[in-house]
Order: sequence, then structure tokens, then C-alpha cells
Amino acid sequence: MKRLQPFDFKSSTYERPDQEWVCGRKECGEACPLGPDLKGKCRTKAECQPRKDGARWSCTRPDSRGGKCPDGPLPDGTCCRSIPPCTPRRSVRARRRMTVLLMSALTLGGLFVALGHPRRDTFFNPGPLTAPHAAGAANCALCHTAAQFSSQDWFKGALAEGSVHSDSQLCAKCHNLGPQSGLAHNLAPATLSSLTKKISGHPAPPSGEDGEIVPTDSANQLACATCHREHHGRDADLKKIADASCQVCHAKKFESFASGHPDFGSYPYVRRTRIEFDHVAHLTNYFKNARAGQATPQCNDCHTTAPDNRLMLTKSFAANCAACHLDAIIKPGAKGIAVLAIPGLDKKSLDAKTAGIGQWPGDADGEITPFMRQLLAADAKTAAALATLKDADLTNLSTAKPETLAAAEQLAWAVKELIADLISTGHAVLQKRLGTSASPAALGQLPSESMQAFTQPGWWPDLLTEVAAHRAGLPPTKPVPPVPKAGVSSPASSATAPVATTAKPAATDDILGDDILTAPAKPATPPPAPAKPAVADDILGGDDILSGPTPAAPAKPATPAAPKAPTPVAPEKWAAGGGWQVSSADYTLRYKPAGHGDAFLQAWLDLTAQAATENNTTARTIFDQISSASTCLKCHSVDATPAKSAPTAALLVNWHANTPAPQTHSFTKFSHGTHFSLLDEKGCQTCHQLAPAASGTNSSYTAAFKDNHDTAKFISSFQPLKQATCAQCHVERAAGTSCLLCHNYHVGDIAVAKVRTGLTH
Amino acid sequence: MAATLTTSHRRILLRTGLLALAGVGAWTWQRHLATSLHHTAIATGLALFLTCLALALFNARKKLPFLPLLRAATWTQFHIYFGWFSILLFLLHIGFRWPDGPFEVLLASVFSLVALSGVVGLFLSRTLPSRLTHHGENVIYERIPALRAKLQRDVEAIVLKSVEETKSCTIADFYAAQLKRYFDRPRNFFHYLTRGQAPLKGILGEIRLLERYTNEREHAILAELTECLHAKENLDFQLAGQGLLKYWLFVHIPLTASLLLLGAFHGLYVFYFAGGLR
Repeated sequence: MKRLQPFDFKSSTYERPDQEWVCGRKECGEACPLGPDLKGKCRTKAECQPRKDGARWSCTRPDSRGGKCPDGPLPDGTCCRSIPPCTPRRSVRARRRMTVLLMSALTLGGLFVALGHPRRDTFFNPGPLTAPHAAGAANCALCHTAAQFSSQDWFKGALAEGSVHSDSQLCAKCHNLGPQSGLAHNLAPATLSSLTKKISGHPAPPSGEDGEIVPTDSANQLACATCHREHHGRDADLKKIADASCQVCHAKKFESFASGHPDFGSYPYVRRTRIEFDHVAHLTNYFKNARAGQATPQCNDCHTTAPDNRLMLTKSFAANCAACHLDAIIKPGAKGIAVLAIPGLDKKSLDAKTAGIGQWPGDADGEITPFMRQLLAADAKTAAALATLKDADLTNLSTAKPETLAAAEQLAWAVKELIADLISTGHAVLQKRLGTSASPAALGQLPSESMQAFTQPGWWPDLLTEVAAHRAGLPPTKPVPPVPKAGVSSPASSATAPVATTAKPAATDDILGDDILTAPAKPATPPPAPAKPAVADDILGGDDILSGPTPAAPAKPATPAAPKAPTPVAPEKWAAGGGWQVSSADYTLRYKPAGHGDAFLQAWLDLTAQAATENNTTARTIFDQISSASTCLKCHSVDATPAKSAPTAALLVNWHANTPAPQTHSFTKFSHGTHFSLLDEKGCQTCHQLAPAASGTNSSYTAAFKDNHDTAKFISSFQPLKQATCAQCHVERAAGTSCLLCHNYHVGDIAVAKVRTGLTH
Repeated sequence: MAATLTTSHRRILLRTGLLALAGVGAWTWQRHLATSLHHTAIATGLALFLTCLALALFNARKKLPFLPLLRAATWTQFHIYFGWFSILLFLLHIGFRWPDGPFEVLLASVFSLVALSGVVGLFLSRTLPSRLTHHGENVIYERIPALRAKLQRDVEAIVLKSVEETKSCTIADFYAAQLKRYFDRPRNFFHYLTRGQAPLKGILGEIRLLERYTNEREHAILAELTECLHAKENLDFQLAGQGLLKYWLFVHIPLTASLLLLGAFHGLYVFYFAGGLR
């Protein structure tokens, strides 16, 4: 092959690729040896620069360019072979450098344009937001505190303390997880540590800056964005987290659900049932009894799924229990609970040694009921009097000390004032004295007719006048001769409104103003139930509280030879269906539960349970009295619960079986509905197997409810769930073993995202 | 020879093994960070940016040949293996999914182009030099225009000589019709990229056809021209090959500059929104 490139000294040129400029004639193969200057200007005018040797000019053209030319320099010393100027070109390296500069300038320019552009946020948005957050995509400042500053602050912000934690505050504006939202599992470190120790036997792993396992700030707060990574698309799962991430912190590490997962323990029976129901006894004994013919031992006869398909709910009392247990609740023979009564007092001694207590039934010998004690204790003076009279015999004050007599007098007038206030003011007195948010509807079942019994002859006929005078500082009126006591006690009209309505004159709505006890109204609207006895011995006549001052003479036959009037029905019998009853025998107003779900009892049980701390024995006494007089707590368990303000635990009556609270998240979650299709012929007992009981009753189960308010101390009617049962399906390639499949990270009350809506015109 | 190959292969295997080890280490590190709920993207992004900076230093090193900073060949090897490592870091950084945001798409595209141009450059620098060496006369890239011009002058001199010596314009006509445009300027760039010889073979076929109509003297002249044709073909091949070895950097280096600027801005932006450096 023909060789073109010489490398000998004379013919080989010297290449300078690092130079910025090259000769414009290089592409033609005629580049001048000198080349352009550093500024890119052609500086070659001839093929050589003649040299003066003495008086002559000699050619200096190099051998590589052909050597000395035959013509030689001109007389003036210039080269005879002039070269027209060329347009130098940049070298390859210079052009590459220019390209780098140009690209850099374009990049920086583009960035500055983008930063100043109105749609800057869109351009720098790292990715689409999930659908619920998508509306905020155009405004970074909604979720990023950093975006609330100007672009000039970026460098400062980039070097500053983390803003992800302040961003979490913006998250919390909609997602309120409570004050501990930034803490692991929303739990206080002490709580978390105790739980960890309970499960693993070790204290909680170190956290914070010294022993940081996961990224937390100086206050051990985790930012929301630590787990919930946005900008990964509309359909991204913000709750997705690797199982391994759970085990980073967890002291008890394990390989998988099938291998090493902590034992279920007693799950799902982590507390006793709220309704005391012995499954073993019912399924093995009672349901087989002919008496329970309506009961069929199918789980879904009594249980149904919650709307979210997760929890199994217990059906209502009417659906599940009423067929067998309703009669026992009404208890036909029960006398009822004494609510208000005229207590027995040594009136003679009091009248003699004090200013007097006015009218007082001489044969009253009852005690102050716990209800009254609770209401009377609202007044400090009366509370002090009650304390003074704690061990005193009020029916014999003949040898009492002056302070005891004064306390007895104070108590007597307090009782009168209480009753008078109730008569004249109504239920507001109850709420005022109880000082609680007691349900007016529940307390309001005390009918006004029943209260009027206290002003009937033989009780306190002039009660209102006496109390008014007492409050005005006037001495009590002289004792009136004892009025013959009414021979019968009268049942108050039933606690229910219809009775009161029946007694009320049609012309008025005011049951206190236009007294229903007045004579004109009475004949027009006799009570419907005792319709027959419209005679003197009628339980609504005579001393009937409904008869008022006007006897029912017009209705009484004048004929002396009238047949013997029928004996009035006994109050207990009258109130067999429940309600209020006035007992003249012991000057007492009683209440008898009207059935399941009795509002009065429920209200007072709740009221006294909440107040039943060790420091409030009165409330506890009332609670116990109602408990023993009713059957409520036979099935409804009572939990000890930390009182909000009391120093010791109060009580809580569980009126309902476990009901779902969608906002409450526990560590474990389970969806019953999604598992139904997997059940075999054993049905629910695939998982919920009855605890073995030789006697057919799970006596340990019921024993755990007796005098026990600790929900953790119990014996379940069922055997604990076996982990192997779950592991049959929950493997990696089937139902999955993700931690979050069965566990919640955030626990406690978690409200749904807030909606900030205001009504405007 | 066998011993040399074995050493070379051993070196490649060692470096590839180290690269694989670094990759596994990076992946393990990233998984550890992800498991412990740290922002892996920040960590891998920072590592990626520093790696890109280190890669860019290779170009700076070439401009400072006088400094005793290891041999250029060592730098090249570092550049190549760190380049592969940066691709792995990039994949870890983006979580093996193409980003969604406009700016991040731009950044990922620029990185991809830089990486792709780097891979292409590596391929060219591993294949072309040997082809250039074995193809024909090795010439300096900057001299090719001058050599082509000189060759063209030589060819024209041969053609003029043929007219004078043979009193025939057969070869001159053939030169004017077929050869002149071939010698005028570089030809058949893309054929050389694909190792194609078709253009040269076509012209040589024309010369063989012409030989049927020429005498002995003209045969000798045509042989000279054939030799010049081979020389021109070599020049074109050298120009194409060496040009490729120079001009792929026109993509790689400017995009690298852009990548570093965009990456630095991206880092600031992310640090700003993710809560700063601490």
C-alpha cells in the first residue's frame, strides 16, 4: 500500500491539537506552519520570513514546505510568495469545550427559567400524588413547609434542620392521630417500653440520636413521610411497608409468620366479655332444654357481622335473650327501690329543743334513702349535718346533744326543701344537685303526681308554705293535730307519660299550674287502669294523691246500704309492670323497673358508677342498692375504669356487647366476613372452639364476673385461637403473610381526615 | 502470548469481581437503609452524585498531564468501572422504575444519555483502535486532510502523466468521471462504521473493466491508481474511526456537565424539601 505519512525530520510537520485555533486551509492540506494566533487571527502573510544575511535577504522556507524557493525574497526583504489570509477554525478540542460551555449555559438558563416560571411547582413535582392528595399537586406549600419560603431561601433551607417533621404538622391538619402522632405506634415511650418488655422480656430498643434505629428527631418523633412516601403515582399504596421494617425496631425478631411469629397467647380473648353469657352452659344445657325451644344453637342466630365485615356483633336482647329472660327482669313480686321517703325523726324532742321542724308524720320511721343522701349532700350545710348524724338515732333525740339536735333540724328542713323544690321546680333540681350531665329523660320519669303524694294529708300538707316561711326566716307554724293516716297506699300513676296525660285536664298543658289534682279535673279524667273502683276506697280516691283537696264525693253513692266497696289493689300489685308507687305505710316513693333497658335504672347506674370511687361511698351505696334490687348487672358486666378526675378507679357498666368503633385501632385486626367462605362444616368452631367443661357449665367463666371489675381477669368460654389454623392459608404464596395484613401500626383513636367546611351565606 | 492473555483475563476477572462486590455492597446498604425506614433515595443519590463527580475528574486529569496523579490508563480503568458502578447506583436510586416528575424525567434522561454514550464510547475505544491498526497505514488524525490533499495531487499527477505517456485520455476520462469525486473529499463514512467495502470494490471493479481497453503502460498506471485508491480508502477509514473516537465525547462530556449541574440542583432541591442535610 502506498504510504502517505512521512515521519522524517524534514517532511513531517508538528501537530498541536491542544491549540485553540487551526489554519483555515488545513482541510485543503495547505495549512501554514505558523498557524493562527491565540485569538484566532491569521498571522501568516507569506510562505517564509526572509532572513537578512549581511546585505542580502535569504529565504527561510522549511524543507517540509519545499525548502528555499528559487526566486528568493524581494529586495525589500519580503517573501516573494505571499499567502492570502485564511479564516482560522477552532480545533476539535476547542469545539468540544465550546459545546460543554454552551450546554452548561443552556442547563443553567433552563433551570432559572423553570424556577421563575409560574408552573414551577408542576415542573419540579417529583411525581403524581395519590388520588386523595391529587388536588394539592399544584400547591407544594400545602404539604411542605419548605415551599412556603421563597426561592432565595433554598440554600439556607437545604442546610437547615429537617423540615420533614414540620411537614408532619401539616399532615396532622387533616389526619389527626392525636398528640402522640409522631411517636412510634402513637404510644408514649413508657407505654411502648412496658409493652415491649411484656412481650419480649427485654426493654424497648434504644432510640433517639444516640442509638437511632429509625430516623427520628431529637424528641423521638417519626415524620409521617418516613413511612408514607408520596409522589409515586395516583395508585401508589401509601401504607405499604416492608415486613422487615417492622422487625428493625421489634425486639422479638422472627423469620416469617409460619416460623417464629410470637404465640397468639389468649387472642382473641384478651378481655372478658361485656355481656356475661356462658356459651358453654347455653350450648350444652339450656338450648337443649325444651323451655328454650325458640333458641337454636346456630352462631348466626345471635351474632351478625358488622357493616364493615370485620367484627361479629351480638344481636339485641329482644332477638337473643328476651324469650327466656324477660320475665326474670320484671320480677313481679319485687317491692321496688325506695327513692324518696320521709325519714323518721323525734319530732317531739326537736320541737321542744329547737325552733321546730313544722309538720312531720309522727309515725314515720324510715331512713334517708341513698338517692336522697346523694341529693342532699349537694348542700354543704346538709352534708355536714349528715356527717354529724352519721351514727345518731334520729327517732330518739331526747338525750341528744345540742349540736346533734341542730344537725337533725338542719336535715329535717333540707329534706323538706328537697321535696318542695322537686314539687315546685321539677327535674331541674335533680340535675342541679347532682351537678352532672345526667340524662333529663332518664331522671324525668319521676311523675309530678307522685311528688304530690308528699303534700297529702298526714304527710306534709302545708309543705310548700312551710318551706317558704322557713326560707323567709319565719318560725314554723304550730303543729297541727295529727291527721289520721291514710289507710291505703296509693300507687303513683305509672311512670309513663300516658297515665299523667290521662289525669291531665284537656284544657291545659301545665301539669303544675292547672293542677291535675284539682277537683274539677279529676272526675273528668279518671285513671284508666283502676276504672272500676270509683268509690271511697278507690286507690285514687280518699288519700289518693290524684284526688287533691276535694274528695271524690260526687262520685260516691249516698246510699248507706251500698254494697261493700272492693278492696283496693295493693301498690306492689298495681306496679307489677313497673313504674312509680307511693307507699303511705312508710311514707316512701318507690320505683320498680319497667323491663329491659329501663332508662331510670340505667341512668342512675351510670351516674353512680362514674362517681363510685373509694372516696364516694354514697354513690357506691346507691349503685349497690340498685344492683341488688335489679337484675341489670346479672348480665351487664361492670369494669373498673380510671376515672377522669377521681384519684381512684370508677366503674363502668357495659350496657352493650362489644361494638365496633371505626375510629379505634388496635394492634390486631381481623375481618370475619372475608373468612366465611373458607369455613368447613365446623363453621365458626373451626376457630372458636368451646372450652372443655365437664359439668356442662363453664363455672370459671361466670365466677370471673363475681365481685371482679378487672377485665383482664377472666376465663374464656372458648379455647385460644391456634396460630396453626391461620398458618394453613397464610403463607407467602396464598393469603400472604404481610405484617400489615393483621396488624395496625397506628393504634388508638384515629379520626378520619377532617373536612374543613363552614356554612356561609 | 498465552501467558499475557491469562494475565489480562485475570485482571478483567478481578476488576469485574470487585465491581460485582461493590454492587452487592451498594444493594445491601440500600436495603438496610430502606428497611430501617431511612430515605434511601437521599443516600443513594448523594453517592451517585459523588460518583459522577469522581468520573468527571477523569477529564480534568487529562488536562493536567504534568501532575503525578497515577497513570492515565489507571484513570481510564477507574473511569470505566466507576461508570458501571454509577449505573447500578442510578438504578438503586430510582428504585428500578422510571421517574414520573418532569424534572426527574429530564435528569434521568440526561444520566441515561451520559451512561449510554459512555458505554458506546467504551465499545468504540475497545474495538476501533485494533481495527485502525490492522487496516492499513496508521496516520495522525490531524494530518488526514493534508494527506488526502497530497494524495489527490499525486493522483492528478499520475493521470496527467498517463496522458503524456500514452497519448490517450482513457484514464483521464475515467478519472474525471469516476475517481475525482472519490478523491475530492472524505467518502463513505457510514460504510466504514459497518466495515463495508462495497464502494471501494465498486471502483476497483470499474478499473478492472477499464483494463480490457488499455495497453500495458496504461495497466501500470491503473495499478498506481489502484494503489492510491487503497490509500484513500485507508485515509477515509482512519478519518471515520478516529473521528468517532473523538466525536463521541461531544455527546458524553457536554451532557456530563449538564448532568452535574442538574444533579447538584436536584440535590439541593431534595435536601430542601426532605429536611436539610442534618
